[in-house]
Amino acid sequence: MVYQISKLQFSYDSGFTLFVDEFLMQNSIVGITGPSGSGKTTFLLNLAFLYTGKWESFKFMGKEIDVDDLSSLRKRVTYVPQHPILFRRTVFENIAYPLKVRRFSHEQIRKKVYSIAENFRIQDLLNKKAWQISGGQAKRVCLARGFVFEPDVVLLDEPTSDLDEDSGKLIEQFILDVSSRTSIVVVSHDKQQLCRLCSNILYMEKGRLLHTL
Amino acid sequence: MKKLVFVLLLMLACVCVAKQLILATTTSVYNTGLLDFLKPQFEKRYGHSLSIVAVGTGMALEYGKRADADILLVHSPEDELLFMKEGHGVLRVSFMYNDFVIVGPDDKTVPSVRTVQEFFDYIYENKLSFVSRADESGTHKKEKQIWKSLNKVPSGAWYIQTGQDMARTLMIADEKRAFTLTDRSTFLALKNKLNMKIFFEGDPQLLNIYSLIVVNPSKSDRLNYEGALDFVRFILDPATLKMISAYSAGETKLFNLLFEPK
Amino acid sequence: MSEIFEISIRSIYVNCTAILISTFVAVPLALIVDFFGFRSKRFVILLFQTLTGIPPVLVGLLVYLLFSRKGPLGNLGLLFTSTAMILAQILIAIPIIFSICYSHFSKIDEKLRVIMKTLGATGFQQMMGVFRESSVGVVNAILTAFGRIVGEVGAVMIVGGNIAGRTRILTTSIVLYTNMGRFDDAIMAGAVLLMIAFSVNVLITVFSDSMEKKKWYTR
Ligand SMILES: Nc1ncnc2c1ncn2[C@@H]1O[C@H](COP(=O)(O)OP(=O)(O)O)[C@@H](O)[C@H]1O
Ligand SMILES: [Mg+2]
Repeated sequence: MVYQISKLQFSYDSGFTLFVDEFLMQNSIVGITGPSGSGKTTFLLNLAFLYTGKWESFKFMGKEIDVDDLSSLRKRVTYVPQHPILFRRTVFENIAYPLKVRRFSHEQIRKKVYSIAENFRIQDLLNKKAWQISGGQAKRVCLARGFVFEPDVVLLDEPTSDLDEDSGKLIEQFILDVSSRTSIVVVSHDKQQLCRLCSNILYMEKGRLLHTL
Repeated sequence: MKKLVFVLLLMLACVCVAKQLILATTTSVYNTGLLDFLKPQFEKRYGHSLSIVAVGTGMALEYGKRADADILLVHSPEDELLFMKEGHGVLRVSFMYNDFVIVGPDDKTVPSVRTVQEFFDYIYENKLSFVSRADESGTHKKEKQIWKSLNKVPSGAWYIQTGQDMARTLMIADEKRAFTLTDRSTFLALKNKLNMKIFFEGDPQLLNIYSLIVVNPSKSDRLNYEGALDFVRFILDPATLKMISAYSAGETKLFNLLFEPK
Repeated sequence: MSEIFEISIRSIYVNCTAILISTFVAVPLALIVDFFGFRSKRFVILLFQTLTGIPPVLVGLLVYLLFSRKGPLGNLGLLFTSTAMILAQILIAIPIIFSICYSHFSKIDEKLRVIMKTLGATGFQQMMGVFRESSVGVVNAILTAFGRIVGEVGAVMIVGGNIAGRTRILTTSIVLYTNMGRFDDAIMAGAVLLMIAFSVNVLITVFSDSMEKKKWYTR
């Protein structure tokens, strides 16, 4: 079990409340869909340990999480936002960031970055500055940066929303390829896409997670 | 990090280095260049390293009171007497003088008068522009003393208060085509840059007497009392006195001795 | 000629040491204040912002009272030394560097901080990330502070005493030369001062540009 959550509750100051009665996730791909504003992003941020609410039980990888040690949990999960956010550095440095933070050697960093860049067809962009590339390219850079350090769990917020059809297919194929090693949660408006990716699709509405479509 | 170590070392070095002799004086004295002229000769003969700090009269006396200076060279007799009375100094030697003069725009004419009071009265009655330093310096104190003896309080648009040192006050007076009271040496130093001339001089009331004061060594054991006494010895040496009385800027002598060297 | 050379060297030493130390104090401080939330945070920021407006002469007076023989640190014998001048300039520069840096750090998008967290950055690494994102602002802060202290005269005059051969720097010598009517020397010293300020600006700008362009990863 990757996640085993019961009765998770999280509220913003604005009044919106997320409530998840039960969420179980095996090593696989899980899809989440629902109208905008229903709390999908908020849920992903909770799964990434970036926001913390209250819960009855919150197990990650079979162990109850320790709120005082979120930073070591964060090392194993990553969240890829819907709208790309990059450092004001080159594309290479952006993708290398999570590796550098983990003190990989220069040689390893170079190898991993080039190999993931090929997967996402962005090898020609590596020396460009982050502000010199298009929105769709930035999105692919963000996705590459999320996968490059091979985390246990990747949380994808609308991974193909800004992309053309070819790139979308490329990303879908990549997700399917890595799903044997990496657990993935995909938020998407495209139900057909979710059907292509996974069998387990959840639906969110008004901050609640529903298990049937 | 390296820099920090360096600074710490520097601090240490400053503490360890042999005592220097600190002479506090007023800017008007320092600006004549006399002290920089005498300094190498004193250092050579007595082996002290002399540091000269030039500030306003009030600050120089304050340095003495706080034991930050070992010896003072000042020219404000009333304050000096008070300083001695309060026990801040152990020795006061008056040894030279120059004088204050009244200067003004060189195209003006004024009737000739005998005393400085008459001149100030003429300015007051005719509301001629007058620039005051208004900074509690020796010069300003002298000016206030004259107004007081006249029983008049200067005020109005013609009376300009600068709060600046003598040089800047002179430049302002030049700019405003105004009269001002100045020590002769500062005026002489700046004369070529100003369109001003001396209108009144020679009244004994305008004498500007300079004294050395040795700061009371019981204030702090860090005071260089020996050095201060050596400096007094050096100044009172007939050879030095002759140099002082011969010291000039251009062709004009700047200081006169209060007594003849033997 | 050798006099102005010696004075210039001392000026460079005093200003550069002061700016180096204040940078190493103020920039990390701004990063820490930006990173951690604590109750008196707004007060600290306001305090530093207010201190940027403090007249340098007042700083000089305070340092003088500190190092005066009758003052709390009188025993160090630092009055009328270049160390005291450096300290006064540090106190002038720190609030400036802190405030400008902080305003740049706090402008970093909250979303970017979230991204750094989720990519596994530790607290320190997040601070370094914020620092790198605002490196242009930091350089700007340092140059502004340098500009302020390089032309500063009131504070160094009080704590240094403008002693020939010991604590005379370009700005204090300009005041002296002006008062002595040596306008040519004053203008000469002013020209040297501007040249130093210009060179330091060029140096820092070139340095920060080359840091930016460093590409250790290219094939
Ligand atoms: N940082 C925030 N502070 C306050 N309210 C927020 C914040 N982010 C999102 N919300 C609110 O929470 C609700 C859910 O937002 P979100 O999780 O982004 O929805 P979705 O991703 O499903 O479109 C929305 O009503 C939104 O206005
Ligand atoms: Mg969303």
